[in-house]
Amino acid sequence: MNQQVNNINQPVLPRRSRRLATLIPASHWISLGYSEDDAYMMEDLQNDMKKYCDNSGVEIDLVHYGNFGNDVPFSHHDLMIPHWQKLFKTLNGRTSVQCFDIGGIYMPISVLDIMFPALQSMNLDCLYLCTMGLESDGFQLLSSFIKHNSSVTRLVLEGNKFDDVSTAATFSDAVKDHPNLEMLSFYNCSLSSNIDFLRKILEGCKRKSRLGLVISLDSFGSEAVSVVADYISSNHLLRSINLSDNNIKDSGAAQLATALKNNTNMHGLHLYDNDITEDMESCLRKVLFDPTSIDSIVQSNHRSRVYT
Amino acid sequence: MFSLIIDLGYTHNHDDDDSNIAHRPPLEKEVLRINKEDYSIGQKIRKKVVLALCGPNRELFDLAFLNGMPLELMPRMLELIQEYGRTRTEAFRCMMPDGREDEVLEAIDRYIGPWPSSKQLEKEALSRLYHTLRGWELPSLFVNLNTPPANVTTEKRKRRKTCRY
Repeated sequence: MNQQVNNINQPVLPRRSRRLATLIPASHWISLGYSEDDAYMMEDLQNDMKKYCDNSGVEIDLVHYGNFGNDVPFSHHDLMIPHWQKLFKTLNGRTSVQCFDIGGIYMPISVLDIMFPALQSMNLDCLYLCTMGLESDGFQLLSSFIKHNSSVTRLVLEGNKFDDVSTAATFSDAVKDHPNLEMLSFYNCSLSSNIDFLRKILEGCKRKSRLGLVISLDSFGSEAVSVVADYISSNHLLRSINLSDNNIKDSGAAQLATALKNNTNMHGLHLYDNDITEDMESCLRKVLFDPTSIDSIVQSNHRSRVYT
Repeated sequence: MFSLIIDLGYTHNHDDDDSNIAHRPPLEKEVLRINKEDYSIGQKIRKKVVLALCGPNRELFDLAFLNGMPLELMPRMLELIQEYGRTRTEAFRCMMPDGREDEVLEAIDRYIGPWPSSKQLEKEALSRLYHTLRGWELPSLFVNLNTPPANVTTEKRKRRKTCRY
């Protein structure tokens, strides 16, 4: 079930199902060619959607359906459209929800078209959109959502990848102007696959308010490290940056150490699971505390914490 | 899966989570603690100087660097050196925000090892003071000591005549 849109064996939807979004059992999905696991997953998804339609709570949690290990979202089937419609119609205006967490399910533009207006009406604090296979159209809708939203403080875009630089630029503009965003995560988003994606995103992070930025599980080359080091060095109002698991080597860490010397705003630099030797870790620590002389102590960084 | 990723800190930044640095060397933990605290930059520098003077590695405890220091600053420096015992106690008190010292000490004993008694801390502090004074250019404390102050008259005082019976 790795293809994103499954149009094979597209059945004619029973009128009752279209109207009431009644539960489509696993057996039906199996008859459509789904594996047993996937069929039960579809049933679970519908049950969870129904649960959130029936009960109000502070959190909507629709994850665990996709195959995270392969970064491939679970495929969409048009049979699910009435369920999505019902869910987002019900959620529309439900301001009690603070956190919307969806992951591992591919959403075509037809579903995103109804999702974002509903999210806009919900006064959300946290929005997690993980491994949804967002494409240019999806990112455009997300950018528009962010541009017109002021309530979201945490936005996680795990596993979604930009297709083109203009989309990254649009998203970047939206982020730059957002008044309350405190945390933005690009975990496994391959920003460094095109250095211009990274440049554009960091451009958007030159904000007037503090931001915690996560760019992790990426494969940073030397150019990507230089771009991030320049950004850190320019001392913008960045609260922290998480660069874990990015294949950063000693040479890159040295650049980051130099950049950190010039930064008086950042509270945290996270460098877990990179290829940094102990000697270089010592150099990074020396940026925070260089006891060679009193002058070197004075010139150390007194705000940041480096995690290796 | 997602919650697992969150726990690992890959999608989030745990700015206030000290669990990730629990295994780091004491000096590093102390530096991170100083940088995290809401002190002024001046206070942070002061604490780092104290750490360099008295911390585990005593990088600045080579007292030669004190030689060029103006005499007037020396009392301040001695004060800094004495401050370390208090800093150490403060550092561990932070583990229990409501200041339950007995529990703090018990926890330290259990997880880190015996915490020095107040007498021992005092002894260490006095020892540092002694070494600092000894290592410092002590003669500068007594410069011009043999030369009388300018306002003291050098004239011999006349002996008061007294009747001796």
